[in-house]
Amino acid sequence: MPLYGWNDEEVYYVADRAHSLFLQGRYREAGAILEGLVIIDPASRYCANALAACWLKLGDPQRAVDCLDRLLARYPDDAEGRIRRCEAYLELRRIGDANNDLSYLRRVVSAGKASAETRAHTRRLELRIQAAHAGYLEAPAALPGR
Amino acid sequence: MRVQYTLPGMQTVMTRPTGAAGGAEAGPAATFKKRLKRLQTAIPLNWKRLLRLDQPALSASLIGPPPRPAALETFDPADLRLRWRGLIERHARAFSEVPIESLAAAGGVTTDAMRNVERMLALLMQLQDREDAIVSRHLAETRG
Repeated sequence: MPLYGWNDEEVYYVADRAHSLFLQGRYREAGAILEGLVIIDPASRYCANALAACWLKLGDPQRAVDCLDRLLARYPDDAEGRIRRCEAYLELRRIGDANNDLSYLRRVVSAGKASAETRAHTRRLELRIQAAHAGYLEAPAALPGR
Repeated sequence: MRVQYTLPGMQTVMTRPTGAAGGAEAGPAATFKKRLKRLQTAIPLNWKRLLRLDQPALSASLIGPPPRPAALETFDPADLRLRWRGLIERHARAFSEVPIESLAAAGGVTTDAMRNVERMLALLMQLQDREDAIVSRHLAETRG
């Protein structure tokens, strides 16, 4: 439920505006809108995931992790957030943490509760972590000043 | 009559691999074979790089549209524009009337977090102003 007198429709309209900006490649503006929306509607999975995607686009995986930590503390079963955080950890070379998220995803997959998309992502993350162990990760991009 | 199939100045230039010229393998067939061999050895590929496992999945940094609320009414563009304007004005006014510290305390967040809401509203108002300018210019031009 949104706070501060906002309702679901209003949050939707503003999130849609952020999405349009994102599609135009205006990640900073989209991120600024979504940063406000996650305060107004802290229960929104979409806003948190979209904000994390903005941080990844802007080359700031640490902020993506911070954002997804809050989301996954509230919704540990959010597969999209888990996959995205795993990718962000790999960007940060935190392979141990990435492995923890992967283990969670594997459990979901083996329990038969995962969508085809989650299964495919999990398989890819397994290979990606193998590649990371073999030293096949890209050099980290320079992080913007915080 | 002879047809010239190539454009002058646009012909591809034959390059010979170094070391191929001269000797017993200097003929055109040998040169081509050598060039193929050079290509085979010049691309250092392995399955991890081929699968782009050295890079994050593209979908990790992509987002879809927000989920539509079930009870969302459909409006025509003019009506929607009016509602959008009302939405921003109402929330910006409400935000400016209450001290930011009180809003932060009410939502159980820090003042810095509330500044993000302030920034969001300022940005939305800015975008609204730009849209208004575009619409005004368009109307002026179509009126002639």
